[in-house]
Amino acid sequence: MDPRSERSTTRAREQAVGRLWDALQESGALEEPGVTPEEIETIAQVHDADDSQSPDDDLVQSIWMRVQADVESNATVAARKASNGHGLIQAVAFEGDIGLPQAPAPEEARPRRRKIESVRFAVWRGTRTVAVSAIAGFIAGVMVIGIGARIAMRVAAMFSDDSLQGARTENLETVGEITVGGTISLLLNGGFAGIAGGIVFLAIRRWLPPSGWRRALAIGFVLFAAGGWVVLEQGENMDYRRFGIAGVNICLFTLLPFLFGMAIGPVTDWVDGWMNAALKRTSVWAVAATTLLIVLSLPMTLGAVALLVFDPSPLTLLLLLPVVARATGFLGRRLRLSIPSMTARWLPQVALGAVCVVGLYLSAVAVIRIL
Amino acid sequence: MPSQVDSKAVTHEKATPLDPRDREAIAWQVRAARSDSAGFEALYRAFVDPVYRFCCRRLDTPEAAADATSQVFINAYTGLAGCDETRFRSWLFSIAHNVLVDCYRSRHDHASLDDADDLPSRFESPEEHVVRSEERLAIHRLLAVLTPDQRHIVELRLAGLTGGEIAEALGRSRGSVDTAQCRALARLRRAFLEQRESERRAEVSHGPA
Repeated sequence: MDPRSERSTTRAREQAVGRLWDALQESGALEEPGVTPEEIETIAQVHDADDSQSPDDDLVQSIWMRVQADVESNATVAARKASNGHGLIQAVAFEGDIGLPQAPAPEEARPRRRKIESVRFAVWRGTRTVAVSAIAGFIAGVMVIGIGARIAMRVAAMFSDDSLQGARTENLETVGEITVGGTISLLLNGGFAGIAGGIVFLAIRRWLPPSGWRRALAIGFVLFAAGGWVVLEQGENMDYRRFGIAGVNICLFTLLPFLFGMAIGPVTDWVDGWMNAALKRTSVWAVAATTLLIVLSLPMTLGAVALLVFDPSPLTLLLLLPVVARATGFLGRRLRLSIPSMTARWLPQVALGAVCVVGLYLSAVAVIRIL
Repeated sequence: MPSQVDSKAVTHEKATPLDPRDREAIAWQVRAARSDSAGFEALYRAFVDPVYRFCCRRLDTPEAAADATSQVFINAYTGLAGCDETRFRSWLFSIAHNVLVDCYRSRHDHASLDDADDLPSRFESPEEHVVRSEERLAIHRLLAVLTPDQRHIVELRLAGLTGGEIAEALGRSRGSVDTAQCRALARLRRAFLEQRESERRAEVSHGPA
């Protein structure tokens, strides 16, 4: 056999062994053409010989406590070891296996400082998380709902009779007049609605598929179901039938919450990454500007949530339940309160399901009323 | 100290279990953990077992492995923002690999403490301690026949990583990983045969039980 073909044979065998071991890791299958039974047996023997023990629940918990202590104080173990000088002794004594003298744990040495750090960290984390959702919601709201609504109105105008030029809409706008003030107002309304959508996304994102099209479709559907009837104004706005083609108008406007839902996930990821990068910059101005943006986004968020709270519809109030549950869960973890999973998880999910079902029904009623 | 463990364990809220092999779920959880430290707990719970066992295979004592495991997750949390979420597992084990390299480097600084770690527990007899040490070292002895390179690859295989993930974790090409693991298998095969042969000889010399 010439060296080249020998190399390629060896390479093919190595690849086959690699594929076999991959299949074993992924699905537990232990067969692959091109792999000798001896090699298969050796792989099985290596796995059988692995006598490393899994950590028991107590050890998992004690390691987590060490990690959490550092995570929450945003310090590293190196710093912790430097501060008490007995990192390893502490770790060994922690398990209670040997009677070495115990070094004072950082929690005991500086309880007040750690508590302040922990609260500060919780406030900062919570603020940042809400800010990311609010900013992402505003951007997606302006881009999708604001601009989308303007496009939908233009389409409705295109299909309308010339005789309707100059007529007044139910929102007291004049048909055919595109004013700067009206456009800005439309974009800002879209942005504010987007903030509320962003907060809803923050509350329910844990129940959605992790990423990609499935997540986009899921949140799109939820917001379509929950917001479609709101966009259609419960079928009471006769402009849907008066201007353009009613079916086209309904499709275009109910598509907006769906498209917003599809956009909010990627935009949130983008804002999150952008904020991480901005806060890591060495420029004081960049960090200060980002922090200011985070702080400023809070009143806007409160305003958007207030719109939901003061809306008389019980359905929109029901939509707040996941938001409240999410916030309670976050605070409960920080304040070390045990919250029953019924309250924290199942009740908001049932509420969300109810919002979707009733929302779809109301949308259907609104469509029938318009048509 | 045990009372401290108990008091905090009571308030512990269990996270939804994640399958470490479910890449999509892990990627989502990594994104969640970036904006919410609570999200990191789910990642910790999903990966603590393979990471701890990975550390156990390299380190002599469970205490050292626990220490290294906590360091791995602290480093992971600190660097989470720069992690490609689709490659979280290989990224986490590259951190584990680096932490263990640091452990080896600083080992002579803690020689006396390492000796202390190897003392028998208050709860076991010297004989039990010897048996425990023997059992713990079985995989150590087996992997000792390999070169460091090959050993790292086999250890990552035992941790559940695929060939591609091992290549990412060690910063190597997939081809070189395949080659090294094939050679590792050949060495391990020889070691198993020698072990079998020596067991057979021991049986012959001692007679049937």
